[in-house]
Amino acid sequence: MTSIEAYAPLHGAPAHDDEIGCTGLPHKKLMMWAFLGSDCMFFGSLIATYVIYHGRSNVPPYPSEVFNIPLTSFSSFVLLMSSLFMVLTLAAIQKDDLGRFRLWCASTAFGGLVFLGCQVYEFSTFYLKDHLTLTGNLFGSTFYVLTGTHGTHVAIGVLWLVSLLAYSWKGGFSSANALDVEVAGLYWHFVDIVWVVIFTVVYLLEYILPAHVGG
Amino acid sequence: MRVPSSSLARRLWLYSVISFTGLLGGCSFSDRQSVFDVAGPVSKTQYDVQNITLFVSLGIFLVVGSLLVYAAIRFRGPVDPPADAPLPPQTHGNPMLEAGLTLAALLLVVIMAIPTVRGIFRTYAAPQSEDAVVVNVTGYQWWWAFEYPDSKVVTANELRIPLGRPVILNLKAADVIHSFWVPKLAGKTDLIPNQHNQMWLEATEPGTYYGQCAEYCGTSHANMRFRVVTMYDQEFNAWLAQQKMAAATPTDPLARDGMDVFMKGPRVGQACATCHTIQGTPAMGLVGPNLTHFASRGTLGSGLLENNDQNVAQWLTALDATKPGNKMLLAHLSLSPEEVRALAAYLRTLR
Amino acid sequence: MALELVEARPIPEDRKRFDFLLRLLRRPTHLSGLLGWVTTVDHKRIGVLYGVTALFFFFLGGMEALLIRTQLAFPNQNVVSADTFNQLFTMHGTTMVFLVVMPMSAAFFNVLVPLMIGARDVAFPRMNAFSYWMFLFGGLLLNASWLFSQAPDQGWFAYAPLTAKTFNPGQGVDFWILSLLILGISSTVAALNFIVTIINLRAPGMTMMRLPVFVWMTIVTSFLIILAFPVITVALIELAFDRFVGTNFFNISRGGLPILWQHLFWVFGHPEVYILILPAMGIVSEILPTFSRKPLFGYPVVVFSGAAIGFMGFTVWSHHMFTTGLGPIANSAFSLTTMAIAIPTGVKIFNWLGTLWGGQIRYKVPMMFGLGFILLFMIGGFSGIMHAAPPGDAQQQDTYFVVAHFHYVLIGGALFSLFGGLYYWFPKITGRMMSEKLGTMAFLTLFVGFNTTFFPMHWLGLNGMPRRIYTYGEGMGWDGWNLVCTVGAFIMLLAFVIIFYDLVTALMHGPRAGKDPWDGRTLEWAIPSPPPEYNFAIAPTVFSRDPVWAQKHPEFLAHDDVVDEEESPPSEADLPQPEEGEGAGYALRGGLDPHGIHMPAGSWHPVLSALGFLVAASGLIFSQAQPEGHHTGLVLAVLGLLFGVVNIYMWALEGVGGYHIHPDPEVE
Repeated sequence: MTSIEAYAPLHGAPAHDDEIGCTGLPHKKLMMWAFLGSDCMFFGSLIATYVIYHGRSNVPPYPSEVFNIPLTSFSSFVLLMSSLFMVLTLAAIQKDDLGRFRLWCASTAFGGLVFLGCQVYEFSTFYLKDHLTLTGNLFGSTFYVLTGTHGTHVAIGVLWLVSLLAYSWKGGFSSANALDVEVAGLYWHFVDIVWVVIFTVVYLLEYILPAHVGG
Repeated sequence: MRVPSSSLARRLWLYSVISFTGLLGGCSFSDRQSVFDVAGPVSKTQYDVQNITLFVSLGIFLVVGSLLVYAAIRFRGPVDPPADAPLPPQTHGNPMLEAGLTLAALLLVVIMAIPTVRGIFRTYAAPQSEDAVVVNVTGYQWWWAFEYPDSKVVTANELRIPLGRPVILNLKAADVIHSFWVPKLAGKTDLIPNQHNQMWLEATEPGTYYGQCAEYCGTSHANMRFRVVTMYDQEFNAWLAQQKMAAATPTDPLARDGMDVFMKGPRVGQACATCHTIQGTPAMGLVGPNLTHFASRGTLGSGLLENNDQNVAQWLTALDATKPGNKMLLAHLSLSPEEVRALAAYLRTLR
Repeated sequence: MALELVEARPIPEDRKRFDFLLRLLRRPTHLSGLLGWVTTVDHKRIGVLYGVTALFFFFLGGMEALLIRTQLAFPNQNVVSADTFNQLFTMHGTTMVFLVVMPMSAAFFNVLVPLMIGARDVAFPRMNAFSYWMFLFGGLLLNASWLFSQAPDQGWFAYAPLTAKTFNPGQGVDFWILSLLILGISSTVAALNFIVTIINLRAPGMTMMRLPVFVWMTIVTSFLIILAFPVITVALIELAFDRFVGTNFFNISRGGLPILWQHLFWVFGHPEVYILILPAMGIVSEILPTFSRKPLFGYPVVVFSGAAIGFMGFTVWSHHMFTTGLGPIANSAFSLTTMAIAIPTGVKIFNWLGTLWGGQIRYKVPMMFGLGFILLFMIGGFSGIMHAAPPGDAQQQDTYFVVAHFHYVLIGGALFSLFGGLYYWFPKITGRMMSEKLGTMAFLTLFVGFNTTFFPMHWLGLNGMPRRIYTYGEGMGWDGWNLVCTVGAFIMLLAFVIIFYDLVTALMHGPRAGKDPWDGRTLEWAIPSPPPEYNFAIAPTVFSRDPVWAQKHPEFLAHDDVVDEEESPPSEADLPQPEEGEGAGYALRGGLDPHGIHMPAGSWHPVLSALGFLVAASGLIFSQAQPEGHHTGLVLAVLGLLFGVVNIYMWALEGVGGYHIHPDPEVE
């Protein structure tokens, strides 16, 4: 007769650990890689929209009138630095160093928050000072939706890191959780790399191929 | 009991054979929008390319299809073979055969690709010719405006072209995407807002050709039809000159009343003239079709009805049933029967 | 098997102070009954849910088709109004693509993939449940539009600017956007799950080049989904912003380009065609060898050409736009890539033919559907080659010729194969056989009805009948054949009634199917029908590409052809080999695990988070219908979103959970 019993995860038989598959890759990590491939197409389409519409906006303000490159360069630098902190976060938890893990994890999240703060500042300046709105012209629509989508990705990443941080005070957080941190890290690095592309295409390219005023 | 049922079966069989051959007999290759009945160089090129792809495809289909049917019959075995029945040879593949078939497929694709690419370029660019007539085509929900920029003539839903001369069409859309298609003269090209498309066609045989919008554009997409009418050169020039003239003021009292309704409307601000233009009158509206020479057109309502007294009256009274979703404000005007009669009389004078 | 109520995963003492959240919802322990189905994470049950739901939507989409055909039977008819007709064809297309063919394929992915690769379940069982509920809710949301007389009427392709508020002020487009976003999440999540499952959960010895072709097509399709759906998601988000907020992506007066929508839509839309047909090709590649009693001819070539079709599927999208004025260079390039895709497709057909060749064909119902598939798919493929040539396509585009073409691909191809798959795997899923007699009748009726409906459409299209017209005038030469098409559609209805009757009666009192009613080849035939919830009591060790077949017919392996290069790669030594006393196909090594089999517990969170997103989407649509100054809809949207997100959090925190099963050793 087949019988059923409650699952108690206490006997700790490794045979139950189905998390690592026959390729030797953990499921979660593999899925995150596949998801990032998918997200590439997502950002690719948004960036393509921006590029196709570059120079087609037929009412002011135009990109070169609003961009504040020094500020955006600063926030980009902070975001890139946070990727370094993310590496240190993972290294710390892999060595079971909970203290350092918390320090670097908090620093990474803080980097993300600084970036978001700069974005909020940038958006509000564009909106209040330059009257660049979501609906006013094509540039506003494409710019806000692209950078806003990226900002949402960063915000989700910050939320994720803060959740991990909070979780680390729960008992038993150790190198056994390194996979969870690593997966969050993959996501974080990806979001940073996407920003490098957006920063180049949206901000820097404006100086090589400025959008013609008047479309 | 068998006899009646089998005679019923025989009768049914007979009926279906008769009706099927009737249908096949009804397969005319010269129906109004048939792509087989080509009447110009563009549709001819398109027809030729289509034939190459059709015959190559049909050829492969006949060969592979016969092999499939042959295999399905030749290699049928028992439906429920006993467990110890010997297995057929367990072949796993044949690399040489597979590579050969892949190469054969590649070859057939190349056979189709060369005339295709040639056909693309041939149908794309209009021949450099001083004879060419330029027409600006604008698609509206759900009718067509045709403007001859050289002679400043504007008409609607009936494109007149000179026989044997290339016609270059500049395609624009006023609202949503439409597609210009006259099967016997040329395949379709879309009219897209914020995009300037061009196509060309030429009629080498005289006739009236049927065309229709081929891109779904909303409620009355099915009713966005038009005609292309060919004319000999002299006729065409005379026609252009006539179309350029202002509309004559009617002399008939009923038609004069109709003109009044048209210009002023039953109530203030509800005049037909707000949306339609009739040259030589105060009517300068740009929203609807230009009606200056309305009565000279063969059809009414964008190729929907024959243009005669009765149909004009129907149009003015049962508009929504005739063309669902139309943008005319007639329904709000609630014209009296007398006003309808007068308006129809006026419109029919616009030769 | 004794079913006892199972305790939820005990919460360790030291975690209790943090897990107060989890106690809001006790871990569901129902294994049967309605709650068991709602909280299930078992891939087989989820597969059945997918299948039944898809059949329900198939009924709706079919009724829409019949109304369309009734309206068009004669010229100048008024069975339905112009606007209703436009809603009907929009909903018919959207339903059949997103709510019928895709989820029917997903039903087979779910039921079969873990069984075929020798796994206990998919990699993420709760995510799998989430995919299903998102699909169900997306489909219900889309069809709810009928109840408000707001069904979308812009066509399944939704070309801008017809979708702008100016031209489409109702809520139809909003319903369409939001349900498609929900369905997109569903498909993407499911595809991620299958990619990980197939790569990571294969049984020992089940190398990639031993995967059944159906599993291969599943992973190719999954990659297409994760790479194609983000593109339409972006298009939908842009359109949603335009409609909800007033941005200018497709606003003509501000410089928006309608052609951008077409590019985004078809960069998604063409891979989508392969998302619909590749699983069907996979199913046929399983049916043909079984009923020819021979291995699949040229397995590596079939696999490779499937992957090639998937890859090339991303390079041909503009052939849907040959008439949009892209220019001769672009048209030539996309014409060539489109013709090139015919090569791997043709190669597949050759290999199916090679599979039949020299075999002993058993005319069972699945095989009839399989053979019907090849013939009809070929016709669809050839008309496809015809409009790969832009000059010909200029005449064929947007006519009934195209309608004929893609119905040959999607019904003659996809649906014939999916129904063949239904007859083939129904015994495995339910443990009962469907009727051969009714199945044969259904197949013949469907074959006749299908060709009666769609073959004349080739002629209608070339005779100048455009698509998407709600009426046509007399004297166009379209009258008689349209009536024939309509008669054919009702013959098809009869066929589906027979299939449905067969399904229901077989479910109630069909004869019992054993483990292996068809003399099958792949691993699912090694376990009882229906499979126990743990699938394999002992994970099989696989020695062959057709493990069950090799087990039954050891002479199969002894055949010379087996030992060719691709069968013995350099890593052969690392692969498990049969030992003394073991069969040639697979072995059950190591005995039963004394700990029992760990089964994941059910969960409330997949269904609840999906419900949250449904509420959010409905709220957003409602907000568009509300007068200025009313915010109930937006509040609902925010609350729904929050509820969804909170549930995802709780899902992450609740852990795998689960229980152990000790299978009876004698059963195996």
